Amino acid sequence: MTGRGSGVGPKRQRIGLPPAATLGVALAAMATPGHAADRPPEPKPLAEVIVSASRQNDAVITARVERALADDPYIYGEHITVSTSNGVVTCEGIVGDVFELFRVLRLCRKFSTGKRMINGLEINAVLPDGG
Amino acid sequence: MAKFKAIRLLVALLTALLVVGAWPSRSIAAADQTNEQIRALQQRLDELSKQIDELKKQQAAAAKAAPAAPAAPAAATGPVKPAKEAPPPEPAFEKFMKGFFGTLDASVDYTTKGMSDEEAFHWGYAPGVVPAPGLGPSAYVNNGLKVGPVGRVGWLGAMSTNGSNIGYRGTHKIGTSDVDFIYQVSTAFSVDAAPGLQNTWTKQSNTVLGAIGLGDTYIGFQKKGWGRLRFGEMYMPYKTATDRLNPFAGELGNYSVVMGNSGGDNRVEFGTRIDHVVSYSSPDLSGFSFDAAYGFGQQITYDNTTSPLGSADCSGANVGGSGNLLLNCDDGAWDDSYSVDFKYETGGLYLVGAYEMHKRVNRNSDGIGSNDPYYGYLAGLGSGNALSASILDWGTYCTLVGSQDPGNCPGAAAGTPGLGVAPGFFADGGSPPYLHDIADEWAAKIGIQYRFAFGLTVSAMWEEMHRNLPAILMWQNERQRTGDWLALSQELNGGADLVSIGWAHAGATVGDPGGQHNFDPTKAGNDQANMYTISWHHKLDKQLTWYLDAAETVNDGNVHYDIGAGGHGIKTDCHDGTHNIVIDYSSFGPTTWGGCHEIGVSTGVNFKF
Repeated sequence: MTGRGSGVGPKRQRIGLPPAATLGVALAAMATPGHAADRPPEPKPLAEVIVSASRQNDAVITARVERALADDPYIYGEHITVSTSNGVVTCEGIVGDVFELFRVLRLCRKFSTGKRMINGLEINAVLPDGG
Repeated sequence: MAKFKAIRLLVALLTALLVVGAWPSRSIAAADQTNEQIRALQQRLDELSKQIDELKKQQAAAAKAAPAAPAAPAAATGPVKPAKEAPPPEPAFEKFMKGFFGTLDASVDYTTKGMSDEEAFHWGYAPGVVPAPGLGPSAYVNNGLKVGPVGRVGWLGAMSTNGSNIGYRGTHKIGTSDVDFIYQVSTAFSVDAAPGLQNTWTKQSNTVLGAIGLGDTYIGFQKKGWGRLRFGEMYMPYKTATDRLNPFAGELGNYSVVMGNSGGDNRVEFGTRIDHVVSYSSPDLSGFSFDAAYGFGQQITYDNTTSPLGSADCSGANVGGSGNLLLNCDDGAWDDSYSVDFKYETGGLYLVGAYEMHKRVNRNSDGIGSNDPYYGYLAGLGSGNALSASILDWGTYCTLVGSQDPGNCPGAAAGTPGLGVAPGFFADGGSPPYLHDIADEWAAKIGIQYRFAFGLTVSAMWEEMHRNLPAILMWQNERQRTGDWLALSQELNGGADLVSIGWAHAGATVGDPGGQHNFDPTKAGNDQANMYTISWHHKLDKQLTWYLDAAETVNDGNVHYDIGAGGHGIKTDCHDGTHNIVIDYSSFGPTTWGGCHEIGVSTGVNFKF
């Protein structure tokens, strides 16, 4: 029986309505001003662009801090979370002792392009009490 | 025909020989060919494997490198491509395992209590002196020598577990909200001894070393920009705010020996973990932040003599009866508590202020066995005296001694043994506890830390502790004093080595209950102490550190600070080896000696995971 093969062929040449609609929506969503030259020019969303670029900067900073933590020979960064907002680096999580704390703080500050960094680190000090 | 047969035979023979002779060579050749193919395949597989590894590395590097590409200028126009693709979902098991954290730390110590040559005397008032608190040395007379220190109080080797712990923490995003549910469970345990109740010859506690919950354990909520709200059992802000000022945490001579330690014993009142706490931590506010916590007292009695509802120990640690005292939480148990800190951090500068309050702290047991002549005078006045009856708890005393002291316990029926405790006012026998030695205790401190670019960190702290007693009891108030702390830490060899020195000073207290066996009233006010610490930490890698630490505490004659309180597993303190084989609530047991001079050296390894 060749119905399966013959049936597939013609269908491949035709795009059904739902996929076409989906594709259309997707293309519309992806369209840039350059692609819509026939439409009247819209004002440049400058503010939006700045925000997007800033986010990228933040991601770059975060990645650099994470890499620096991973590369540092004396920092165990498994429990440290790094995030960046407008250039201000936040380092959160657990460090083992004060020396590791100082080292992490120095790294986080080194890469922070904001005026400061935010310290959300805790020292793991679970000490049984005496009596 | 025969010739033909012979030829055929010869041909057959030659053929057979050829076959036989050729077969092995074909087999070898085939085998060689197969081996060659296998080798080729193996080589190909190796190449493919290398390529896969290389691709994996490239993929990982690309994921890292993508955001590391030069950032587009802020003013750039046009669409901005995503910085990187979403990372692949983290394997569930790896994510689960990442929640575990902890420390393994063990050391070998060599320490001395430094009190083998101590002497103790019976002191009384000189003839004609009207007893009163705070009299000069000439008001007292020495009535003879008492027993000296018992047991091994000189140099002793020991193995110690120091702050070893394991915990698990995580977050759970609540639905589609921005709020996370947070949780942590942890425990402290020993790496050199079997787990069990924290009982020694100096104290009894129901908390179990190695059981889940003997560590900061909580649940709570957090949201970026809102801060963090937690409910559970945890250290208070007063402690955590200055943890970073203590480079000797868990070691001999760490600052908790003096700072936050109002009585100079092994318990650190203002540095302890508290049950039933709700705690809020603010987000960072331009470098400022604060924490505030409230501990529910959960007391069913008015004088806090029972363990808080839901707790294994009295608030402030230990069970009622610890130290051969009455089955009451009257050796420093409190009701509600609250704690707050304010922090500011910018660059290498860290400023901190903190305050903590313990409400209605019951210290009635401080009277039992007191060696202060004024206490002896009050007890000697008897239960019928108004002054004595207003300060001492004769009712409890009579429960202890029954009809053995008919003068003070006229209500006791003849032959009533009470609890079998012999009457006696100067230790080793029953004596009245205080009646109303219950008062609020608070502590406040300020600290500063500066980290220089060349690796030096300077930490300093000043503290004041108060016990709000009425004037009539102030003469025995040993909980009110100041404290000072200074520490310097220098990184060397790129951070591989860290050398630290520290000095702590305990200021004079306003009074003294005279609990130490060798209490000397002629040296009233002679109760300051200095502690000196030096350490060397060598980082072997990211997780493993070797350390060498030494400490010395120099106590004045009437005080007894140690060198291990606040985290070091084995405390070298001022208790001698006296131990009681019966429980009679007389406080007879481990004897404390003022003026002890502890020295210790400790070396160990610390592993973090």
